[in-house]
Amino acid sequence: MKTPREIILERHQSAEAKLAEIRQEDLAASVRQSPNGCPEETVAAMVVLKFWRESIWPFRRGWLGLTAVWIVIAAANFNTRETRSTRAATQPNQAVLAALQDQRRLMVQLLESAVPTPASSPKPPGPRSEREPERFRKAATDKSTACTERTGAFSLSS
Amino acid sequence: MLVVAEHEQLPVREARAGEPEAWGILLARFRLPLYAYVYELVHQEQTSLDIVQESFINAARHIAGLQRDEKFGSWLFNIAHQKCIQHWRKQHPEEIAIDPQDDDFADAGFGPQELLIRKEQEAEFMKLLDQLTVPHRAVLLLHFVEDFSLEEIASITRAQIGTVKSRLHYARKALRKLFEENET
Repeated sequence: MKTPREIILERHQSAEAKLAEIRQEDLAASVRQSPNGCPEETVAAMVVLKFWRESIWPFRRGWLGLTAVWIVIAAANFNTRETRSTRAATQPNQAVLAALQDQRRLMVQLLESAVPTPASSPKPPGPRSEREPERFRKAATDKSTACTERTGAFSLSS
Repeated sequence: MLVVAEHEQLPVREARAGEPEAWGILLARFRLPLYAYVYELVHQEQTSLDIVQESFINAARHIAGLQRDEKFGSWLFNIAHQKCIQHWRKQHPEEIAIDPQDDDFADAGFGPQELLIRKEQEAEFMKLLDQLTVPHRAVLLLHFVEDFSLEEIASITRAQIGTVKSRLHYARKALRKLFEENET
């Protein structure tokens, strides 16, 4: 007793030899050649290649010109920096030294003229005898105003 | 004995990465069932071999578009089925006519593993397969050979699930009738 699957497959078993001619290497190569079926690792490479084909290669002369200009600018910049640094290292500039000395002298003069004057001391308080009457005077005026208010209140209530 | 594993692990991801060994495994797993399916539909050896080869090459070219790895089998059969349709359109356009048996049905048949055929019935079984119309034969072969679900068969044959059910029912009924006649 067999299942339908077994019967159907056994009927075509003789075709196995011919089917074996389909090579796994060819299929794997088809995957790699297909733009849709690229392995994940090569996707980045494909993007770079696409960028190269669409953005760099059609404008290659312009890009080359720009590159040449940048190389010249970079070389000039490098050369000038090198000469400046070597010159500075070999000869100390006398004018700069003189200017520095002048500035230092000026600074010393300024510091000397700007010596702070001592702060004015607070006025010492007067004798107590002079201060007393003033306090009493104030207290007296406060009392008189309180009395007038009170009498007013009584008169209203009565 | 050949048995279809229910949840077999196929190296689809590796195949997508272009590994030849993975394609070797997929070839060994599917080339004979696919050939059997195609041959039973077109009945020409060389055409069947060509369709199987072209299906695998197409699968390799478009495997990046396959979203669910576990559907590789039904996807591959779908490619082959479309190639068979292209072949029929060239050879026998009248054969893929509208199916008259597309009625709804109550499933009372047998599964692909439940049906066991005696040796003396094998020839009748194959003869019966040949007698079925192409749409019925396709559905029954997909059911028997790979035990595809109704949804998978519907996607392979690009038919409605109701139509697939109906065709399967009709094909099973015809098969049962044959076995009953033989037994009496």
